Amino acid sequence: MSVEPGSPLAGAKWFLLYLSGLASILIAVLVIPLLSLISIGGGWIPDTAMNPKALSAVALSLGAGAVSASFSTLFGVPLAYMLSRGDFRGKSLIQGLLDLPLILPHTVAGIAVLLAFNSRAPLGQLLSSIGLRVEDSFYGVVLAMVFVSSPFAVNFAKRGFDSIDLELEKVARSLGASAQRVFLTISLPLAWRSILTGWLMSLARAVSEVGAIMVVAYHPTVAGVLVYEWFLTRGLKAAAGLSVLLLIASLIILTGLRAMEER
Amino acid sequence: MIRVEGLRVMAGDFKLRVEELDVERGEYLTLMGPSGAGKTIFLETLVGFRRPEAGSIYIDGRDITDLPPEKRGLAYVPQSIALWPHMTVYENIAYGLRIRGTRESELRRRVLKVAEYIGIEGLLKRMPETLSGGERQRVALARALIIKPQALLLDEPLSSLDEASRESAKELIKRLHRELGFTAIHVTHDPVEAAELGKRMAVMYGGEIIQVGRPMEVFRDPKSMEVAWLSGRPNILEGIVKRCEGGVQLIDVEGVELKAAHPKPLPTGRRVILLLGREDIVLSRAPLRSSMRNQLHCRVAGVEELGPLIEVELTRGGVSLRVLITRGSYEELNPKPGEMLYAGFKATAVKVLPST
Repeated sequence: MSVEPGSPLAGAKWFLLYLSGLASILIAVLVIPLLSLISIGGGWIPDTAMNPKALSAVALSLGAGAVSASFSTLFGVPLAYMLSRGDFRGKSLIQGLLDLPLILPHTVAGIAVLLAFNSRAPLGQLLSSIGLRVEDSFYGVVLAMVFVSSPFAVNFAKRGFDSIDLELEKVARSLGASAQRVFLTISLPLAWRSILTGWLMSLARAVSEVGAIMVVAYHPTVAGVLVYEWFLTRGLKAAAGLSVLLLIASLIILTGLRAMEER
Repeated sequence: MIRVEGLRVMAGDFKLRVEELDVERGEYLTLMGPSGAGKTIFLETLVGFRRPEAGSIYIDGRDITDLPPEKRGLAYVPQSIALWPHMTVYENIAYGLRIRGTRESELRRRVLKVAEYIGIEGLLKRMPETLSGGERQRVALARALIIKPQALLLDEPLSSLDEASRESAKELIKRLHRELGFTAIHVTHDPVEAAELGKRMAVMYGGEIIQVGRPMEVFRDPKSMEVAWLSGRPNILEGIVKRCEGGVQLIDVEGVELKAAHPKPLPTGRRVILLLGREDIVLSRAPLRSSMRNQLHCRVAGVEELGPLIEVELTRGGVSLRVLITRGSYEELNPKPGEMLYAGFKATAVKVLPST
């Protein structure tokens, strides 16, 4: 490994060697399992790709993930703007609450969602009456995903709003724009990259969720749950094949969206 | 006219109190004070970003204290200039008119007109990040002036510019004010800038306005120690324009010829006032070999210690100059009353104001 000319690490050959040694251990831990997955599961792809259950599980994961990420962004952006600009009671409580789903075991998150929204709970009854039954349904999958992934949408959007120079908004107000107009014409366009990144991270997190979804809505089966099911019923190799399929689908979508974001 | 009465604003532990301030229609008022004096808080209260605890703000007799910023018609130009980075220069300038629902053809006509007037018509398609400091300044002025605001509120608008662009920005502001006659409150910490631009200047210190008056009155007759200290007590000289030579004005001050940089030639025989900062003068025992256009052989009239600095008073013919030097250069030079010294200063350090 070498460093750029002018770098403070110039000439630190042994230290760089030491850093590279430690870093390669972590890289190995990350890369070797992925390589094993691809080498073993790769052979099962043709078989998996023909399996309608596998295809619909991958489609469901991505579809519900996109709905969940969009829901989190739609309602998360206003919250992020309030947290970034506002000073109100309970602000730090809300901020703490937003980090909670990140440390909560996912099964616990699932149980919490199920307790609140099952069709016998007051809120669940209300949702059921308009056709949004949570147990074992698409809505349940989305709700479990939102619970675990929305903090990403909010936190990234907030970071975007935080990075805007407040004078940019003040000048617009002084020139005649209402606060709402300033939000739409100045703040939102300046934060959109962060908002899009938040949407992507939220989608990624939603697609990777298993525990909470299994508790709330085992059926319809999302890809993550189906991998687990196949691991138990059809063995490691079949599960690896489905995993690679999910991996490829996710990679295509993520790199495509990143490329869009770069433009 | 803008009128402020009994204003009280709390910002954390800081208290702002402005008993009374009037800014006439078409007046250019400078608000001078050190950082932390409350100048920005005062501007933010005028624009409507801070709610006063007490007091009122009137524009042409109408109480605007409770109006939101967008209903006040006070165009704010912050220190950071704050051009919107996601819009072209054209869109930046057009913003205020778009908000008002101006028709596209009318909008286009007015943006082109103001851009031409300010000399930025070639920049309209550019993005703000590609502009120089001086160009940004011009765009910010165009963006504010296009809505024909009740007043322009400028917060240290020149502080982010290098010296050359600062001088041309000052000239632009002077010209725009002369020709358009808008009302302005211009915040600065630089007493010379305050004097050059302001018809009147208000001095702010510790959250209060401690003196208001014509700049020369404030410099000559400071009502308190704070004003005397803040104004930097520049040397004030009166002279008569002799001629212009290669962009430099030769000015006769009591028989002594001084060179002053001034962007436009002044008519011969015109009476002018010259401001020269006490810290802009360099002293030496031998003539200085440097780019300074003014070198006067002066007699030391007196030496006074002012804390860490030393003030040396010099005379040359009928001209008397006060010079601030550090203790280090004082010990090196060791000037004694009656001795002769060379005083050097740049032509750009001499600010020319029309005599009134």
